[in-house]
Amino acid sequence: MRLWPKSLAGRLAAFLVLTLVVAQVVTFVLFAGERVTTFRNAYRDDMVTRLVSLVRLLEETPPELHQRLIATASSALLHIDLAAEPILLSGEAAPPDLRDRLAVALHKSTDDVRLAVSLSGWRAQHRKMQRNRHRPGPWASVSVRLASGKWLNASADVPPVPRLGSVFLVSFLISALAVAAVGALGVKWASKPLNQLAGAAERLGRGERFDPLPETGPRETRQANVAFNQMRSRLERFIRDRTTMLAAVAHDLRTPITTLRLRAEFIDDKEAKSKILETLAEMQTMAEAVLAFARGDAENEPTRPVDLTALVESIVEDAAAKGKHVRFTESQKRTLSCRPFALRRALGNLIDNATFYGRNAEVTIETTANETRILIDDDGPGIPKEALEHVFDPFVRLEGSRSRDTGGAGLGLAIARSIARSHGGDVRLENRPQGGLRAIFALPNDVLGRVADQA
Amino acid sequence: MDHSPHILIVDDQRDIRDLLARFLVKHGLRASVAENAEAARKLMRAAKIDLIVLDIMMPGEDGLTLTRSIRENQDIPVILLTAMGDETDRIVGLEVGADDYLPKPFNPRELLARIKAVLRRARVMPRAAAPGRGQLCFDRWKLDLARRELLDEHGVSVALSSGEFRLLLALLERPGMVLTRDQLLDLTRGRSVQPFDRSIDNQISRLRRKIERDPRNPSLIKTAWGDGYSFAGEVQRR
Repeated sequence: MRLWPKSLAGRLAAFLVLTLVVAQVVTFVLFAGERVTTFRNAYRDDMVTRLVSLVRLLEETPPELHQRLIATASSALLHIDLAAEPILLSGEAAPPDLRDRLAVALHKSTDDVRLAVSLSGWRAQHRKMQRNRHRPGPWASVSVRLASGKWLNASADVPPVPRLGSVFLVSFLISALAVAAVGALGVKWASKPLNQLAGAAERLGRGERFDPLPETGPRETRQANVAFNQMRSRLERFIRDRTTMLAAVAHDLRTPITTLRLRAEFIDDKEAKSKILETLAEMQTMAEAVLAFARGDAENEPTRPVDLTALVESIVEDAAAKGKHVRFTESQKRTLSCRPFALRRALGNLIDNATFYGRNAEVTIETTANETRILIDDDGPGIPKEALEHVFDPFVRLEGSRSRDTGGAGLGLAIARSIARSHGGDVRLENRPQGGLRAIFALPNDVLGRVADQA
Repeated sequence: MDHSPHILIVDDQRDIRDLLARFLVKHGLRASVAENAEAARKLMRAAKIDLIVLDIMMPGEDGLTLTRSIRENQDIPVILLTAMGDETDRIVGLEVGADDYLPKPFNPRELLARIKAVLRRARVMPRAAAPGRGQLCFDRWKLDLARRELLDEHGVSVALSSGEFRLLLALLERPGMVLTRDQLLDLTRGRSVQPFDRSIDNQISRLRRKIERDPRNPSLIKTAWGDGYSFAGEVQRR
């Protein structure tokens, strides 16, 4: 259903308002009848009192005043006149107890007081009156014989029941709004830890760094956060154990590689020597890559404010100084908080890839609304569309262009991405329309913003 | 008598220290080996050592501690062998006073080149001015020598390429002195075996863009009349 809100807060608010409506309807049904009865009784008692007073007045005042007294006592709903004959038949008395009470109040015999109250319900009468537009006959009639022998005839119409007016509606709306608002706020408050948890799970999946969730608040959220933190630390311990092992293996390769390099220096056969040194260099590259990957951000480099443009430019210059064909397109100064050595390694990997598979590489920085992107474009063969994600997997190298003897362990992109993600960003690859590959190292802008605040 | 420099190799890996000693001897140096800090100290007392090649990771007293104690007592240059790719080792190594570092596994020929460069520098320059320690402060900038980074007055790190760093260091170490392009090339090539073919002028203009308030009207790095550059600001070493 389209009207059904998506958020928990919206749903709870809608649910509360619905409950309120039902409660109000039930209340209305229960008390509407009661209200009408009360009103009718009050009206009846008022009429009786008036009649009693009028009868007493008429019997104690000279006849010339009678018409004026009757006119005063009459109203739009109560018609009174004096006549020779009663409008009710002798003995008519419904209900009799009311007739008797009236007789006692007037000090008259029951024979002198006649009374008829319509037995059909008040509301039925009222509805009939509204529907037919003409009077359906009085609701109640009374005839009282005065001391003078004349009959006082009174007949009362059904008074309109006062409507349940706008006050009722306004009060209902106010309470509905209040309930909805309190409900929404309450849920917002209660679901904040839930949102936090969702965000943390997302960041954990992406390999970002973040503080443990607070283990405070209501029991349910506290339990969820404690469980999440435990899961995370177990997961991290598991990964750490495996990478430590990987790092140890790569690390221990240093000694044999160093030894072999030294031994190679004593080989007289020039060709054999250079072949051995080549192989050793390859082994070393791989061991270094594995170590860099295993270590990841384990070096615990602190996050510091850094001039990003200068950093990227210096990385490009260092690569160019090593004979790589890479250019940096100048751009304005941008300061952001990051781990510069890690960034250096990540961008170095991307530039190495670009200059390896292409002849020239070009590095630019662009800023969008959400991220700052370092673009590394090459003029190489690009990567088949279906392999664009696959190449990020550790130890993956594409067949053909990326054969074994091209060097590297297939870890460069994995390392770059893990570094980008630990900064809250990402590395993406796309084939450029004019040919070649574009690597996008994206960093979220809020990282930039935070530094601007400090400066 | 043999006047070739005497190198002390300290490494707990027997293969490495023995092969390295053979390699250095083959290239005209004298070499002694020690397997730990204690043996190294003994050798330093017994013979005149010109340079120490020291592995950072050793059981017992590690290379950093030994370097620090050597720095306190003697004036012997130290080249550290660090774990590969470990920036922290490198920075700490330079901070405790090592003259150079090389990540393991190293290229023996590169080590040889570094040994010669450090020996040459040690002959020319007094140790107090040795690079790799402390900070050089000028204008609103701080150049951290171990981290090889430039910090502005807000602590924002402005990265320098290796070439820019060496060039800036060469200028800062000789404030007021005019250095020709050839001299600058010579000075900045000192620690590097790779050819340094980026033109000095390009690097100067990039440096100016990074440190000058108005790069078009430079007040720190002045172009000298004729054929060179000089650093015009005041430099404080900390």
